[in-house]
Amino acid sequence: MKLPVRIAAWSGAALLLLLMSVVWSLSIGSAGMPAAKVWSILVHQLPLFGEADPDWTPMEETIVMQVRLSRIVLAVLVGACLGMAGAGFQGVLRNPLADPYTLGVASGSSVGAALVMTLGLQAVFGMWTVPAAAFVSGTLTVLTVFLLARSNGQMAVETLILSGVILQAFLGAFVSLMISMSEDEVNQILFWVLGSLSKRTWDHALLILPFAIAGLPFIAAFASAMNLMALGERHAAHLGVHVERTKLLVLLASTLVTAAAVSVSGVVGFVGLVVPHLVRLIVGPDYRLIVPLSVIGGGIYVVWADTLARTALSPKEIPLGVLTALVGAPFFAWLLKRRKTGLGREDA
Amino acid sequence: MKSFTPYRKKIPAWIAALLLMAMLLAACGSGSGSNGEDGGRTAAGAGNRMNTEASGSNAASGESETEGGTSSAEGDAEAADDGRSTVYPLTVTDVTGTEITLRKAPERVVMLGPSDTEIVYAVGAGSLAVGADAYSNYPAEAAELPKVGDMNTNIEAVLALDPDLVLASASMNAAAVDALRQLGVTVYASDPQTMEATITHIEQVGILLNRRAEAANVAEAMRAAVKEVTDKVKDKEPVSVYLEFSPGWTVGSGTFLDELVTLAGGINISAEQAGWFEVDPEAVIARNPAVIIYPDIEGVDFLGGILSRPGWDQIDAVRNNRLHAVASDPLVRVGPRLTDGLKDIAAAIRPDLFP
Repeated sequence: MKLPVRIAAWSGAALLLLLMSVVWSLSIGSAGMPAAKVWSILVHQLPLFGEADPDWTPMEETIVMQVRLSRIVLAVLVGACLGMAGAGFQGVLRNPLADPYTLGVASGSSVGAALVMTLGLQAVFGMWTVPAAAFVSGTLTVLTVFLLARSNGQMAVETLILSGVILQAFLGAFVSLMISMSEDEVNQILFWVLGSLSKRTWDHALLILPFAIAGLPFIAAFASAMNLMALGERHAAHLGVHVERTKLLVLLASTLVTAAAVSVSGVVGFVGLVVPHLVRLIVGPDYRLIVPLSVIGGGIYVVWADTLARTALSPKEIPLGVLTALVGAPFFAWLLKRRKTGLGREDA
Repeated sequence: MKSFTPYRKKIPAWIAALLLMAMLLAACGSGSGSNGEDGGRTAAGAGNRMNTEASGSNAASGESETEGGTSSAEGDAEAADDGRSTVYPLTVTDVTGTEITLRKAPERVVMLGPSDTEIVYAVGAGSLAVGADAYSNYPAEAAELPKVGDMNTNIEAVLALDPDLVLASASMNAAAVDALRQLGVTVYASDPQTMEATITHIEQVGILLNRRAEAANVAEAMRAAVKEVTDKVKDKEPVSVYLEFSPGWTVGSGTFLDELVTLAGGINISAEQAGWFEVDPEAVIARNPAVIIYPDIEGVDFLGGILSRPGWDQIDAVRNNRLHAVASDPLVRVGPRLTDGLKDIAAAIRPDLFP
């Protein structure tokens, strides 16, 4: 099959799965409505089918169309951003352990959020204070990692990852320090670090929508370059790839996209790590497929995880980051066991 | 009872921290014997998981259901002096099942939590207090006491004060209780989970500190306050209530806040689940509470958070503007001001009966 056809076929199938996941997730929740009622509420929203008399209360419609839908849309966007960034990181770093958090985005964002909470400044700029602080500190952290890793105008992959790990440990210690010292906000910092999509609004979804929309074509544009970089940086350079520029731009874009998602959701781990690997297992090593499918796959993964988070112990919430890692880690272990050689190949 | 107002409004959500801690401890069962004091007394929570655990721990430690277990010298004291003063040596069993003996009336008392601090001062034993935790801010002079740590008690700081009695929470200070006991310090641990258990605990502290009459007065005033509230709401239709003690977090059955809501003529919409938890916003909409109550904590924008959640504008409480802030400390401390918290909740639920 030709590549455009393959992309269209795979993306179509993935989008269908995403749509099914969304409808399934919309159908269940604490309010305990039968799925048929949820579907008729959904159908009712379509222009041609809105005529029939509703046999549900306005409150039930609110629950489906406002509460559940806003949260699911947010889950799709957060997952899409994390999956996209994961594909970008793995593509240019050629390291199977690279993920959006490797370079310190998560711990960097956590420091910003925790600092705001410790100082009791959550409401200074309204509901956007914590997301803004998380975004800024997360981005600054990665820029610091770049500076640390840069020498002679180049960033060696090993140095980059090592710098990220070091800064991550350092900032993680700061977050722990604030958690232990904080007299009051213990649960706020702790639960922010654990990640959640609960009690977010449409505005939160609108906030990260531009990042998802702009990020996808930007990172996808480098897919061919990432394919060549898989041969090794020197080979790629001989074949005409601007290696350092590609690395910097993709990492920057992935970082911004991740920071946007994390600023809204808190630390939701493993999505960026697992989803691109899973996609690669299914469709092969071509980044022109991996990037778009990681976007959709990330959305599906987080929708599933968040549905579990809000329904498993209903009406209690389970932190989303707990679930993505709880499901993601064993899955990743299984993947590793099964495809040891396949994953190692990326290191070449 | 004298009506207190919190002198310090700025209590950033340390409560949330305490509650979270309590929840975690309850969840992993390390607060051995926690909930012992309410052992099956919570009518509202009958049959729920939390309660089962409570009765379980009671049965396991073979405790009686009375606050603090038995007090062997109590009878003598009553015989000797008309219930006015305590006879030492006094041997009592606390909620952890530990027998402690006071050879003489305590003269140096350290409190590891703000509830016990308020109790000690309320029964007129403030002159005995030599140290307290960082959260003890009421009454004002308690804030001046030497600090012995916060959630993490500083064992060395406690020892340095050379207390002859330490009052602690069995659930929140579990580790400190064990550590201090191993060092030979006399620790009386409690964990009241209901209004009545709180009042009984106050009476018990009165016995321990030889302030029986004062404690009896406090207890009498509190019982009268409870009766005043329950009498007024007795024949009224219960009002559904959603209570948010920390942004997004509510209380289920088996908690004293759930009991307060029930006593005040409300029905807690989250009572089907036990303990403290982050609530699914959809569940709140579906249960459609008539009243929403949240604590007044400076720097925490409960109202903004509640109003910004999608779909919450459909909730009766929001549509009818029945969102009420209540003073935080009396609400969350199982001490002498708990009845003030009860009155605040009652006023929020039934402004017609409690103007």
